Amino acid sequence: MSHAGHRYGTVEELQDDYNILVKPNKDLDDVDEETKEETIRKTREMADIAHRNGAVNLGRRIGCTGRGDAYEKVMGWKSTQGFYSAFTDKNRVKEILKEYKALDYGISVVAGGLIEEIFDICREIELKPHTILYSLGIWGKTELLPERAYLKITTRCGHHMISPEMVDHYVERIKDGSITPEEAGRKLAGPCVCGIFNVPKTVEEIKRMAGK
Amino acid sequence: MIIDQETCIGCGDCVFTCTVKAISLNDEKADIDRDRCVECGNCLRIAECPTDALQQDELEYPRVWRKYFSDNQQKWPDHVRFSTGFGRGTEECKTNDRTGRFKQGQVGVLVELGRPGVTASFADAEKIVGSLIQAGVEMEEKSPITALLQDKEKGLFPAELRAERVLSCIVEGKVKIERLESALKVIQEVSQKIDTVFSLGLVTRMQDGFTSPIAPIIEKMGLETRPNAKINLGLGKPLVED
Repeated sequence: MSHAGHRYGTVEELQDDYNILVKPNKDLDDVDEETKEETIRKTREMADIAHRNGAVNLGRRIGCTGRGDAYEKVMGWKSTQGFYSAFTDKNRVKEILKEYKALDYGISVVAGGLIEEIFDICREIELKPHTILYSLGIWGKTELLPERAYLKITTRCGHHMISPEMVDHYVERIKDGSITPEEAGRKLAGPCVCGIFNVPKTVEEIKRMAGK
Repeated sequence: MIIDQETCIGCGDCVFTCTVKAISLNDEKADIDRDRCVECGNCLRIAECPTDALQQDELEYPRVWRKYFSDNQQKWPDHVRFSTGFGRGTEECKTNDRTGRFKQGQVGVLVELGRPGVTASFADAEKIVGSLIQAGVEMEEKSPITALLQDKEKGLFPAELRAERVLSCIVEGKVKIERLESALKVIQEVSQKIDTVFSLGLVTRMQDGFTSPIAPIIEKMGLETRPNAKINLGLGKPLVED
């Protein structure tokens, strides 16, 4: 899922798009039943904080809220796999990270977004970034790439399960009035169960594409 | 994937769900181009086929590797399962504050072939792996791509795997920071020889939280990092400091 670091767009286009990943480690947190239960409890508490603070998507392998799955269903799954989430509000992200710091649960937390914005948050609440995955962009036969208008949307799914053709399909349905932009946003989030797909940002863009 | 031509009614509702444009409507029936299909399973999950004509056929080696690399819902087989069992690579920076896989002075190199939206073959991946090995990049042992290598010194996959296509795959390794420049030069060269794209990621420990030790190397080479990134916030415990 390293593609969460490769979301496509200009600085302006990447604003208001943040991810928080809460990631237990298999070798450290799944060693015995007691540790596993403790990890599941802590992960749930951290997910509750994200959910309460306006996560626009929150997911795990079994589903995600961005496509309409109930939060209780997503987090009801007893697993040490952690969760991934998406946000549009920097202040909410800051509040969540502040709470995580205070909880001090020792589970790894990753933030995705514009580097300078995340750094600002870290300085403000006194977090010290440990490791960064930098993107050096796309190399090779770039002439094969979909158009950038699509890439802005499709790279919001780390596994690229959302194709330009899916975007076109739902834009056409918005145009003919058979679906609302919000419903289309949820449909597009469907294949991206991880929960990092930013639905409201996508809704804004497909509305524009549909001339609405 | 297959589409049962007897039961398909040609409604076309599956065409848009394909991640790689492998489904088309011909003679009022939907059809799958099996060479192009990467077995991601998106059509089966998203399209609401009214006659259940869309079906997952039993996949055999080597085709089954398309599915493992392309379907984000498909669990890896035991011998290449290193993390949660899903996804296409390792935990890269995500848990590095606790695992310390990347230490100070080391740089993780992640070449994500086929992304975004182009697909890649194992032949493409082999070119990248071989070049990285020659450049002194230590391949990540706990990565599905490394596990599939038949010759780990030369970076060769089994011959029958080379033509198989996947939605994407991640070639992962790490290199000492002193050798990063030469590794990046090799990556620049090999990027001209592949039939796909890749997203390039570099993983580095930070100095004092906010200073990137690789920034001067990237700048010297005239390269640029994108303005966005994935940042491990150092909240893990016990925290790896070295």
